[in-house]
Amino acid sequence: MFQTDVNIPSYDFLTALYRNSQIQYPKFFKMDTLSKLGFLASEFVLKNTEIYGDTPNYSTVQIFANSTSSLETDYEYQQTIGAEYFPSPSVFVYTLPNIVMGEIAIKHKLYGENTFFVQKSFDNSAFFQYIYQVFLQDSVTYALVGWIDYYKHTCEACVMLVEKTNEVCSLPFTKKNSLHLYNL
Amino acid sequence: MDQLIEQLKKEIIEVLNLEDITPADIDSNAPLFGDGLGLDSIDALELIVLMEKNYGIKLQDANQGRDIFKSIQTMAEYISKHRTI
Repeated sequence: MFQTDVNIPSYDFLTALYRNSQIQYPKFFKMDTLSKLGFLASEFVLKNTEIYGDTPNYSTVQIFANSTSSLETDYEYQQTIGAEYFPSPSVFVYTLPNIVMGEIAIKHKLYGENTFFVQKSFDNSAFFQYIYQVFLQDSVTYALVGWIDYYKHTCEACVMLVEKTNEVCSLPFTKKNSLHLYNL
Repeated sequence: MDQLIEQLKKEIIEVLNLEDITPADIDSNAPLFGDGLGLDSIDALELIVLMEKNYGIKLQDANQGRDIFKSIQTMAEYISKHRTI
């Protein structure tokens, strides 16, 4: 689908991936790297689903996690303060990891609740349990979930769309399948 | 004034990460917010920082921004009158 130099820095890789994807969303360039990563991963997952687009959606929740929070952007923000003290407002707004969910919500008009966990490592069991609990709410039909991490030029993203349905499906949301997808 | 306008366009493109936009694409009289460049409230804060950092202008009254940031032209006019660096 897409090829590039293996030594390319993560932020350049994500920009190249964005350009290759034909997505038209100029705000992408203003995002921090964690948000770019989550945004792109979600775009690929949501494309060709009924969620993709800009119809207001109240039945889709977002549940994400990572291990380094927004540390990379926090550091970048600290650098903008410097000796002359001119902190950057546009970097500051990304100094929380849950902002990535805001970016996804704005793009797709998702009004469902969202939660971002910071964990030492991917805790599949707790993650599964939390998602299962959220689905007990009648109002929830879809959950956009996963692991989005970026630190020291290393990106890691595993994003899934889980649907509440009575129909038999080829890949049911189980602890085993969730862990299998994460380990791919 | 023309030189300042060109410089401002370059600075705004850089500080606001306006990828795919060149100085030539920006109409000096077009609105910066809304229909023109489509900037938002965070961009407005960046423009305030830019004015202070690059031109030594500290806005005392936030309401002033409404008139100053109408367009590149109005920004350049204000900067040329009030710059300290």
